[in-house]
Amino acid sequence: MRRILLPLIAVVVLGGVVLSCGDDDEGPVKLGFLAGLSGDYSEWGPPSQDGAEAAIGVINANGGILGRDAELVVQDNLSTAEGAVTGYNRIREEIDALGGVESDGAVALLNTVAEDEMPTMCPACGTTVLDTEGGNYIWRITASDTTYGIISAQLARDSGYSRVAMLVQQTEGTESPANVFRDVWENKIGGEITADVRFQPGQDSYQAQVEQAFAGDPDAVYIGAGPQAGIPIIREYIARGYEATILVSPDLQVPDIAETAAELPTGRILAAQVTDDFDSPAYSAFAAAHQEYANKPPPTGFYETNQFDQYIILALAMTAAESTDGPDIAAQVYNVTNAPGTKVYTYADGVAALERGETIDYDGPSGSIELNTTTGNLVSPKVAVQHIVSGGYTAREVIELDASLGR
Amino acid sequence: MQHVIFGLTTGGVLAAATVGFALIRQTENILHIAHGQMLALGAYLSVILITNAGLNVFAAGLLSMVIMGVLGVALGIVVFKPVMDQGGNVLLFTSIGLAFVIYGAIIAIFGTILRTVPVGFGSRIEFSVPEFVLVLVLAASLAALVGWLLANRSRRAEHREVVGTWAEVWAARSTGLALALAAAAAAVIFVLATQNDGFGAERNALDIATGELIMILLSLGAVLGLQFFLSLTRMGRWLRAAASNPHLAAVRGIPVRVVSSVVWFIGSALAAMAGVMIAVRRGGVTTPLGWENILVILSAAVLGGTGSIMGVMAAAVLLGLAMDVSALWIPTAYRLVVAFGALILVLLVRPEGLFSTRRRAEQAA
Repeated sequence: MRRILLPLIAVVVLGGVVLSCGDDDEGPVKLGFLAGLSGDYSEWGPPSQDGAEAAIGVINANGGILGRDAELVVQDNLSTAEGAVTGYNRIREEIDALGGVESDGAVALLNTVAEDEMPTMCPACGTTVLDTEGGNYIWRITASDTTYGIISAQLARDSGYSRVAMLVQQTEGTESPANVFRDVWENKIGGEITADVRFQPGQDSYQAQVEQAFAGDPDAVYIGAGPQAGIPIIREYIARGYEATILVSPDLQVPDIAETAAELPTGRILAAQVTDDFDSPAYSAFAAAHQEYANKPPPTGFYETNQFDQYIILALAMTAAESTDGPDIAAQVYNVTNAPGTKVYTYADGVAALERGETIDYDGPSGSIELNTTTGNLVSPKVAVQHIVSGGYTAREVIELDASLGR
Repeated sequence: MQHVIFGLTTGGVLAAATVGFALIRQTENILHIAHGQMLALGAYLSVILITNAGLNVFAAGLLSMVIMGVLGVALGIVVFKPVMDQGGNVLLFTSIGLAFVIYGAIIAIFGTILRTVPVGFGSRIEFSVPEFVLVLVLAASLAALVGWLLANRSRRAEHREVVGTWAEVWAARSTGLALALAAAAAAVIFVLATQNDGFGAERNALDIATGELIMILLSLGAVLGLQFFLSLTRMGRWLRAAASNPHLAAVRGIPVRVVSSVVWFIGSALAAMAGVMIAVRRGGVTTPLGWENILVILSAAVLGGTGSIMGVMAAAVLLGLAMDVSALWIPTAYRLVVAFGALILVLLVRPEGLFSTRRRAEQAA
């Protein structure tokens, strides 16, 4: 009986493997979207997913990837590192590449995706860990917290401030740019920190912390917090009639904060945020795709263009590699994003150029995508000063990073 | 100095959140961990009533309290009554399980996004430090007077054999407590005021928003109202008799099932009331709201001890003051560490809690 049973099992297993391999090559190319659809990042979740869906729509409308349809595999990471690890383990066998990852997930999965040879895009990671640790299987296509910290200090300096207080939530994503800000402000610019108030999130009131931050009569206060703590802080600031300018961290550049601060005069709250390249032909194509596939015009400030660009880059890398294997994709990421090459702004133009045998240099709606080939980071993210006007953030002037402030 | 007012506001809201928990703990003998989730659900309900139904915050809060009170009664009957005789551990884990069920329901119904509350705090009332001290001393004296009157009333109560000793002990405690609090507050204020030039005599040395003042008054009103209810009404006396010995109370003809439902209604409605105030204070609600509050509620209840609603309120106010006034000397990142550190210190000295009457009553017996 055993003589018959063992070969039979082997045949069934091998058959299954062969069949499943066949399915992989003929079925859709699966692109993971692992993001915070619930929890702290939930405000960014739906617009981020819309950007991702728009990219998948564009890819499929232009012949798919290597003749196969693209499919988005959506997985909530609960906005936590643990959720990211659990979520990734659920979809790792299924997907060909991964996108949507935020800071917590990127740090938690850094070694895992490298071991799995899983090409991974970070469209909204600020963590300073990726300043040096990415580049092989993980790429960041937005600004680092280091950039935000430097730009905020630069903004305070250029606004003529000399005395700044800090009010910072004790979480990795908020302390990371705040610590860079303090370092640059004190050591490179020579400014004074009148108070550095750190607090735990999840409290019912931050009155004491706000009082302490503003007690030294600073010219401006840097607030690094999530929206949940940011709302009562801004309400307290308004209620107590303070007049010092507020510099807010990227996490506070959301509609709820803008609505809370709507009654303040324009310019009272300053923010530095990556901005899209609205004049680029890539942006108009993206806006049309967003309208078509998400049934609404794109918002701004939710990394929606970065979410879009990550899948276009992955799809172009797969096309250039003529493969959906991780190492092959990873080897082509820099080739399709960096100069030299034919400048392309859309997926269709990129595929056409690759089919003509040309090398390409893709720039998307999020702006120029030139990646540092050692660290996988954007070489020069485009950052603009944001003001709150009529209850919404509005991008004003683009600011160039002062190289003398770099660390 | 302003930090004392912050602390009073924090303590006031915490008191409203804690007395409902303490009432259920003392009368139903349940460490009701799900109280935090009841608070969160009440907050969500009020936010929906404000933003979707267009109710003002007071109407929304009242409706939310009624809905949560009825839900509390239903949960008491359906979830807790069947296991009431199974012992403390079973009741505790039933409540923990219920907390997760309510938490899941909140996520399923309201989603995980931040829901903002479009309610402001209103204009600010400015006053000087001496005025503030005067108000505090007057309030403490009033509390002492009320305590003394209640004690006399209790001596004449027809159910004196059941509640007399308990009420007398409470009244004596509350009088002493009120005076002690007044003295402590005056001392703190004196020390703080002397650190400022001019002794804080300028008219605008301190301020409080109208909304915050309303919260403090509502909390105080709720706690005093509950205390009057327990001390002066027949239902209140039944309730304390049932809490003291439910079997004896039943034998004496007290309708313990009705009493139990009243407890669940009041406790859950007070949780909703605290939830509404916290939602307005925060300017929004998110799903972790219940978990973020239950530990502080639990610590205030433990600090207050068993047997005294006013003691629980005093403990909540002391915790609020400890958390906000300590910010003057200790980094605010350690706000909760200060609160729980104070709790541990107190429990080392008085394991039964600061204002517990039960131990003394047991000793007297």
